[in-house]
Amino acid sequence: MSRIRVLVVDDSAFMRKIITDILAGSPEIEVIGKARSGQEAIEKVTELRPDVVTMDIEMPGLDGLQALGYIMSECPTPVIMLSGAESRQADVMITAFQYGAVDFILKPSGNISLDMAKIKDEIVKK
Amino acid sequence: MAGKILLVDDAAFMRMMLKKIISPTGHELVEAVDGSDGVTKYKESKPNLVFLDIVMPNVDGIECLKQIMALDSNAKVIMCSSIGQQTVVNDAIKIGARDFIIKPFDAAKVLEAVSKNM
Repeated sequence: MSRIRVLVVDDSAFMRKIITDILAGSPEIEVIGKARSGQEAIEKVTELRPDVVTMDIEMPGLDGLQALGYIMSECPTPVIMLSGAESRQADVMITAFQYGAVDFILKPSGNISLDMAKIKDEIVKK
Repeated sequence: MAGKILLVDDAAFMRMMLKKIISPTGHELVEAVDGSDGVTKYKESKPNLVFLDIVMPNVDGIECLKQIMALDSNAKVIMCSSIGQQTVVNDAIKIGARDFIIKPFDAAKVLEAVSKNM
């Protein structure tokens, strides 16, 4: 079985590293690329055609929701949204699902197993 | 002077993004959901300017552009292209499109296109 190719999108290098490490812990997952902004995410999705994208919501410039909208319209790919924001969360989640996000993960610490479980849900879906 | 702008894109998200950027200019906005709807709405609303997506179901942007140019050889059409569609954009310019903008939309570029053509 070929591995699941994931693109990690986050403006923070620290978060990119954490997410990548979590994903790299699974033999079924391969992180094929990272992007630091919404703009870069759209370019890399088009270029690399990942199986799944993990997308931070709050980023400078083109944010995660807008990037999600563009990706779903131009190059539909399963996107899992990552959020650290407590405020506006419900609104943002609803908008993200309207745009076509497949799942949602809250960032605060201790979510390693949650993270993996959700990614695996995604695998089953595919 | 306020005029009419037709937005043709199959993705509601793209139309929403363009609407958000353009609506403060006060121009009336008309939406179409694919190329064939675009041609119909062009006939109905006779817009001053059209933003036209390229990849759409049914009638695509290039075919829609041809039909609009056949209806009105002075039509002002701006193509909305994704990264890596340069050849299609070149074709569109040959057919008669005035300009193109690349997604993701840069608000400044969209507004420039509006002010130049309205």
